[in-house]
Amino acid sequence: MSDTNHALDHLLARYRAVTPDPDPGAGFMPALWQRIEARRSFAWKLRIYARGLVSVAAAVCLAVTLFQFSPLGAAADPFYNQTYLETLRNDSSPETLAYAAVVPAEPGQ
Amino acid sequence: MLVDFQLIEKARNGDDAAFNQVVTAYRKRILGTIARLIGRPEDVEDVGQEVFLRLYYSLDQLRAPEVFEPWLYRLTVNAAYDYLRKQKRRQESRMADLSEIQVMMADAVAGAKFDSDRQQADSIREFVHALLSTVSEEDRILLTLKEVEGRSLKELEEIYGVKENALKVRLFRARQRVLKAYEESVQSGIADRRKGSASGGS
Repeated sequence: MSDTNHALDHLLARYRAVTPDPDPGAGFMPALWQRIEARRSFAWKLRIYARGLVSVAAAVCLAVTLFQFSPLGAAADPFYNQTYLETLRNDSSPETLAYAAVVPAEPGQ
Repeated sequence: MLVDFQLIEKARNGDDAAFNQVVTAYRKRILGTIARLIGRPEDVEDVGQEVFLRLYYSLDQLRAPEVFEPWLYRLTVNAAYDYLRKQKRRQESRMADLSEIQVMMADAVAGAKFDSDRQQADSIREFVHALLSTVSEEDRILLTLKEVEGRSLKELEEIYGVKENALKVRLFRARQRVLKAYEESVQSGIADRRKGSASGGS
């Protein structure tokens, strides 16, 4: 086993010797900068799209909020136009109470 | 360190000229490590560029210029690992070629004459890559850094951010597996040679 260990060490040392550090090609640095620029432009595009998306989302939020508070938005749903008393009166009408089984629909029954 | 801390600090602050100098200083050494880690000369520059690309976009995360080298080696290990994982299928098929080069390696072990030094170098490279492909990509990289690149356990600890003892255990197991594959291939290669010479002699 020890011999094999030494043989493997020797083999790996020979492997190190026959695989020296290669010289980089002439195109190494230009290609590297090309890749850096490509990723940079991708990140830049992504940032622009993200900004656009955030602007659109903010505009939609603002529009919905304005619509909610505008008379146009409020008039669309009568529920939000009723006063407290009106709501209470409507909810306490005999029909509603009968539906809730609190009082009979017709007093005679 | 091949460059001074000030240069790394400049590169970290976005100085492209400083980054260029750092790459120029380290590229040959990193390409050599990659060449021995992946075993595909034609892809070495591509993986090397990936390492420096990752370095460019992660320099701002570097804690201090003092830990630059382990940081660069960690990026190298990660890029080599990603490459090897992508090439896994090809590696599996290369494992099948192990028997074909066993005879060649038996010749190498026996000190037989090769047509040229280059042929012998090629056979050693092929054989070592075939042996290393018997362990996982992680173990192959770890074993290469330790046994071929000559990195100390302390350096490996810094590169991997793992305790020395855990690395020792992992290295031992990986080496045992490679050793076993080595024994088997040499035995089988010698047997093949004997068979070949016996049939040639009859």
